[in-house]
Amino acid sequence: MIEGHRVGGTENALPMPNRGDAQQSKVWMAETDQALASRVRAGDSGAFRHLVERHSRSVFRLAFRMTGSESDADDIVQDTFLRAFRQIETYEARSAFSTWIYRIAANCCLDMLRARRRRPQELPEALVCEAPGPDRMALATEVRTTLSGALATLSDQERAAFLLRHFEGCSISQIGESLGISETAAKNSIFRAVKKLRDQLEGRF
Amino acid sequence: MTGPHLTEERLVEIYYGMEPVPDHVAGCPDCAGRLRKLETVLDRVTEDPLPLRPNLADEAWSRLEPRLPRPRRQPLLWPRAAIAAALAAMLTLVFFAGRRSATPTPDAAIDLRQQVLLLALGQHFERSRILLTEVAHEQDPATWSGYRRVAAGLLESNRLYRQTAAEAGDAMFNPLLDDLERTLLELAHAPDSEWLGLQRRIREEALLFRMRIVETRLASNSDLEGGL
Repeated sequence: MIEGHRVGGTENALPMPNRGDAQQSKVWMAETDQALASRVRAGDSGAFRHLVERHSRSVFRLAFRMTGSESDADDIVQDTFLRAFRQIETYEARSAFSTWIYRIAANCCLDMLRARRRRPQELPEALVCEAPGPDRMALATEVRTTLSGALATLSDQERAAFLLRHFEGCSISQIGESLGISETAAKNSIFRAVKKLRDQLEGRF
Repeated sequence: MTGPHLTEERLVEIYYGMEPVPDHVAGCPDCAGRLRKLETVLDRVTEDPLPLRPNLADEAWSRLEPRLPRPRRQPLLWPRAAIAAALAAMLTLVFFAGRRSATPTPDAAIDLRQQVLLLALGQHFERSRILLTEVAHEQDPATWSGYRRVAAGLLESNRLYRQTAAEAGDAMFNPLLDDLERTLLELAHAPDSEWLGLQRRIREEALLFRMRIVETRLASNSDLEGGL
């Protein structure tokens, strides 16, 4: 146990970090994901905040590129961490927390995409060439649209595997574990994804 | 030039650093060109911008925090040995409390014994119901092994409760503990192939409903005359 952090006998006290509590924050920042997860299991929801801070951006990146929609990606971040909190008992510290959270996030993305298919009239914002908002004005809209269109040709599994490898730098075994598939299947998904992207994009840039 | 031309898959592996660049590439303009083309496409994909707000994590936590379930007072997953030891100690304590104080104040002793045991039993039903509810709706196979471990822990305490209830001739909790034990046993040992059937049975059978009723009664401490 890290000195200065109370655990025993404080289950109901729930230490919640705030911006003024720099010392407490430093203690949490120094802890591994596994240690934070153990604290969450013991009822310390303040520790969960630090897991959210560490991993929400990578979950958002995956979700946005899977769905092409900023608002859907925000919802997926919420659903992912809500599920993670509820299932924290099932997290086994043998694997990295990031792999575990990617797995939940990938499932949330797939659920979202399945739900979207049942509502085909609702297309994601990035795939319909809508006018960019002020914060998107600086982006090369044509490139963005072309890339989004190319990613949209991939199957859900191909896209997830490709995104985890290309943008998140996950290993093949991590991708397999995150998506619940074998390493061979993960690798083949990436190969197929790259081939489709090349077919779509080669000569256009 | 050394070796055969590189396959598309090999080029992808090289791009992602899964394979070292073979000597062949240096001496083969064809493969070198194909690798450059692949790099051009995939590097361009990397430039795809993201609407990544700087305060995204804070925003996410602000939305998330009010939605988090209240923490359980006791963690669901205890080491099995700890559960069994704590339970055995508690039952022993209750047993002796009833016997030692039987002479001076028998009613108070019986009442104490019942209160302690009913409180623990209520918590056991609550933990079991939460587990079964989560299992019934869980679609991610990655979580199943964790649920099996939790079920195995609850199974041990359930056995102790059932035996205690049986020895006391209890007719109120015994049938429920009996059914719960069968379900926990299945859950603790069910292979993946039987998991979906088990989930369906949990949803369709009345076990969760019966547990909820008993929990409510235990919480209000009513209708328990003669229980245990």
